Amino acid sequence: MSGTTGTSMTATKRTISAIASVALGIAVVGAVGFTLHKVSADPQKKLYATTNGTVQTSQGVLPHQFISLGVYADPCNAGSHGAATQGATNCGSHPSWPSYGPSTHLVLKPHSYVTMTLTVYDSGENLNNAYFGKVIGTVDAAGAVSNTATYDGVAQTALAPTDVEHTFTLHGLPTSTQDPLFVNVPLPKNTDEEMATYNKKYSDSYDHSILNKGHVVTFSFITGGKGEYVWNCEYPCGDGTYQKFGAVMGQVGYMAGKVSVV
Amino acid sequence: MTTLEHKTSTRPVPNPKKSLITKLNMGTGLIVGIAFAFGSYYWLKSGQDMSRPNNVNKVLIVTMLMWSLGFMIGIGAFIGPFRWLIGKDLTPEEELYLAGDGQGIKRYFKYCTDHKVVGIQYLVGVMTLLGVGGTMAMMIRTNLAMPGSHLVTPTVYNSLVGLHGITMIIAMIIVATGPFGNYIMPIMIGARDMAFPRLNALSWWVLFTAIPVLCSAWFLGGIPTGWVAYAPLSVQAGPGMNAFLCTIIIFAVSTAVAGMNITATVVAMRAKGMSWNRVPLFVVGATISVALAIPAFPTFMLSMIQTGLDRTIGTSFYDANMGGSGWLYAHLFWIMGHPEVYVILIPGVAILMEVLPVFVRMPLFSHGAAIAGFAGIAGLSAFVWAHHMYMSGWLPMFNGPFMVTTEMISIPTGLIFLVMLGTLWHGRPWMKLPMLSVYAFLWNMLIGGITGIYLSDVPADNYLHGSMYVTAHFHYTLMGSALTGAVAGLAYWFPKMTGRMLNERAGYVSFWLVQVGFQILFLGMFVAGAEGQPRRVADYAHMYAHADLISTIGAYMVGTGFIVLLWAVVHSWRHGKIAPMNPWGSKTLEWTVPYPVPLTNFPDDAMPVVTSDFYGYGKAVK
Amino acid sequence: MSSHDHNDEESWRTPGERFTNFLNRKNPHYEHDQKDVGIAFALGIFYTLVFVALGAWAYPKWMPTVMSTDMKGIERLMVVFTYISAPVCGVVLGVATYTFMNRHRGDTPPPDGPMIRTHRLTVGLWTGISTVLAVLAILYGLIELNSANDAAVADSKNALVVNVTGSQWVWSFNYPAQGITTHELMLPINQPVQFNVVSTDVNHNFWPVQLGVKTDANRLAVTHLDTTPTKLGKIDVKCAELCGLYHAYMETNGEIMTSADFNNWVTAQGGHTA
Repeated sequence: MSGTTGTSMTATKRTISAIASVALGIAVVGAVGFTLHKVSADPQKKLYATTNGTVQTSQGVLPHQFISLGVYADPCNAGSHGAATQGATNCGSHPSWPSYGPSTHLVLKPHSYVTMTLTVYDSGENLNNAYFGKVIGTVDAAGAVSNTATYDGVAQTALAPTDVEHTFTLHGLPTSTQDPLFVNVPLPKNTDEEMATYNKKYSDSYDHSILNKGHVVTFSFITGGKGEYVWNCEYPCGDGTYQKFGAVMGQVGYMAGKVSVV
Repeated sequence: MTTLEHKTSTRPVPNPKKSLITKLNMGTGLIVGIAFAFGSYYWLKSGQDMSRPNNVNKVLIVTMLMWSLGFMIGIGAFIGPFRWLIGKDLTPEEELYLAGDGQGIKRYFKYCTDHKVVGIQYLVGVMTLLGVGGTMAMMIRTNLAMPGSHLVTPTVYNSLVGLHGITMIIAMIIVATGPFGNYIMPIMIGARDMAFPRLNALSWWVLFTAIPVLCSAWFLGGIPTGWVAYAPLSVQAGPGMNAFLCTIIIFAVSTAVAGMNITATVVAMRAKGMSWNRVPLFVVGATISVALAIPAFPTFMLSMIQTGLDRTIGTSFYDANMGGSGWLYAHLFWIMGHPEVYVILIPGVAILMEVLPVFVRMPLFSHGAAIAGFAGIAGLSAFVWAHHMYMSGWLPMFNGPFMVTTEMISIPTGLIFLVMLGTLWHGRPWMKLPMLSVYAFLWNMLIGGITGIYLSDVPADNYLHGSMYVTAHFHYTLMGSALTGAVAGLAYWFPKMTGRMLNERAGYVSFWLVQVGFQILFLGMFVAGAEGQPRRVADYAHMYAHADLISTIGAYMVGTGFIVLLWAVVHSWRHGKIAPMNPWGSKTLEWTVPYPVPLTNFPDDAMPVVTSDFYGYGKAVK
Repeated sequence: MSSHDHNDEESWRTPGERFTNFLNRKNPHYEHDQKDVGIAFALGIFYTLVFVALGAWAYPKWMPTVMSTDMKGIERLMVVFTYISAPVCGVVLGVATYTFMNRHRGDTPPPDGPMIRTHRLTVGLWTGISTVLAVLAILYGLIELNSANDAAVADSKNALVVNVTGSQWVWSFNYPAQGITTHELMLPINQPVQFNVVSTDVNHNFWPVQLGVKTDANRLAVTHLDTTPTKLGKIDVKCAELCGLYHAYMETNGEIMTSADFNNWVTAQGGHTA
């Protein structure tokens, strides 16, 4: 009833063929995974904070870390997607997107007093959520919560929601073994005149290395223990998409990034 | 081996010089499809400001739909209707040519109307989709093996989750009714072919065009939504979302055509003497499934069209700022989405009920209960959709009524168990792979069904909604039950579709790897969900690390098991033991035809006449 | 041309004949092996006990700390439903295991079993019992749902109002009576709280895990939640609806504190206590 075998393989050959095929299958899946990893990993180099001195705070003497970022209207000046030179056009795959730079992956040390300086070169409009117009989570020189940031030398606790260009909003997974960390600093916009000057320079010479003056924002916060956090901008500049939060807002490396406290 | 080669036909073959249909095939389809796609892309792009997302969406959507249309033109899908329109209908020789007569293996790459060819095409297509979806699942589980999301960034992870979901859903909708509904079902009811053979080929090739569209999402930035594609996130999404929309629109056409074809065939073309009481259960299940799909899928297509309109011409179906509502999307989606899971489940269950009497050598217990079970599930499934929306805040006072209807589905589902257990009782099950699958189904559907009851309860859903508990529940029902049924069908009908027996040892290895791995994978996931891990998250808190690591190990076992099954299918197809005409001793009609199955299934002068149902196994009792 | 064996098949008779046969039916008589039933029953009891133990142990162990009346109800429900479904599992798995034990090995089909087409008592009992169980589950759920609604209505008068806003990808909480907006959810113990939840963009889902409630945050359509925290301690607030890039990171922490601590916290945030 079972008919002729019709098989041209012995049992051993069959087993070898099976095992080899399974190994091949696993290798294919592994190769797909490896490729995905390479393609999707954050292409930017990490930006390390530099340590300089100490600060006396209510939590004791903490190392003082400094880190600087900029927010740029185009990715070339950000420096994290390609070089900003005259006529440069291939600054990453999204040449029209604003970006933070020189990197969106920041590395800080735990239990440190971190002073961050953000220089902003872009324009702005309205926040979706006015809550992010307030400064939250920052500390003063003695390490006490102040919720203040310094804008071009002037200390403020909030910006009007209509004057915000981007925000630096740091948050994370608090329900794990890491300490919660939350900082929100709204960043001031450049006025229309300032942007017109910039655009004029930009369009006249296509020289991406020319920037308008920019506003400087400085603030400090204290890190807890080791952990991985994320930050993103809460000012919607995803042009044309729903609530303007699509496109650039959803891409790591432009308006969103990571903070590693290690 | 000459016994397996397709006999060369002695019928007249159309003159190749004269007829266009002899020159058209998948290759010409690809050429015309790509030409249409490129042509529309460049023509549309030139007139648009491509820095605005709405315009990008317009161009991409039209390009993708043009690809599909172009391919169908290039493969000759419209030649039949066009010739009829101009009054020069296809000649019988041309119809025979279209049915693949005398073309050997080439007919699988052409617009072939033979239902057996379409069945094999669907089988290969389904296996491809399952392979792609399964690979994505391995990526997802690898990323979740440890906290920290080390494999991919959240953008890629979210795309993996959404695209894995839609790939698997599409694959599961067609996994049983595609290969077996097309190849086996007409023979099983004693027909020569489907009611509309040309539309049969259409449904397969239209589905084929959806596959590159779906894959293109990866090259367009992925999607940020799950497979449910809730608005307004889907409206906010980048260009990859258009690939998703077009895939669904194209797929809905394919499914509607296939569903209508199956229904018409079963209603109108049964053998003489095959009253409704005698129709085999697989056919009943497949018909009920597609009858449920036909009213359901258009709402999915509609919701996608509306999303597309929101994304292109600025309508506000789902934009609350301008008077729309995300709840509209949720309703349209779930009015499809809930019947759809029964579209997936019922054929798998029907296959298992079909094989059970054969392998226990007893009649199916309570045929009436089986029918009542299918009918009850299908009927009730139209009234439960808002249980997916308990937590949406839509209309809390309707949560109670939907909870009632949802929990009532447990009654017809219980009848399914009754039929299977009743058939098994007093029997001696023959432990081949299809029979093993029945046991796996009993366990998996038990867990899936009971956890479904927990989820259907509104107060419990307050905790469980949106957690990994839900994910584990639906994998137990869609994968553990429906896919197990489909694999059983593959093992059962493999001898009739390929002429060879599926390698048994490999089948057992695959079965145990998959089923044991499956338990490890999804029981671990129930724990993670009960502990509070949300679903669709790229990263999670350390407290879930154990449960997730265990799940990932289970996933690797399942993946390996399916690769073994793939080897078994490929190897057995080429080198397997040649099968006798009826290796399982089954009484249904498909086992009365030899392999290779003749073009018209049954001899022209000897169509089957049915005088009893097909489950009369067993010794008569006094 | 192939006809099939038919032994006393009814289905080919006319409807009139079938009706007469139905009226005159007798149940077919086949051997009932008591040993079969006994072993299957024993297996069934075993499985039932396993699932009862599972229900009693598993859900309380896995589920988070109970910190509100709603969460307490949920945990109890999971346990009770497991108890209700334990006998169902017992029957299914008991019968299935027993038949598995009787399996036929080898390459030839097994001998034919008895031709049992149906057994009306079994079908009737099964359908009846599963209907009863379904109705029980429905009633339990409806009663639970109703009592939660009643509690919410009763508490609404003196509830602490918290307006929850979900933005991609951060939660913010506004306490209108206290005049503060924060990113952490602090609540006083034993005080009914009403959440009004909304989103500034896409759909999110506000889920304070230990409180056992959740609701979608939709754009411009405010949804409501009512609960009362009943235990001091930390709570986690998560987002339970995929909302884009950082959905997984859209979490924040909170705490249930004494009224005094809560007032201190409110003052520290710059608000005023009523």
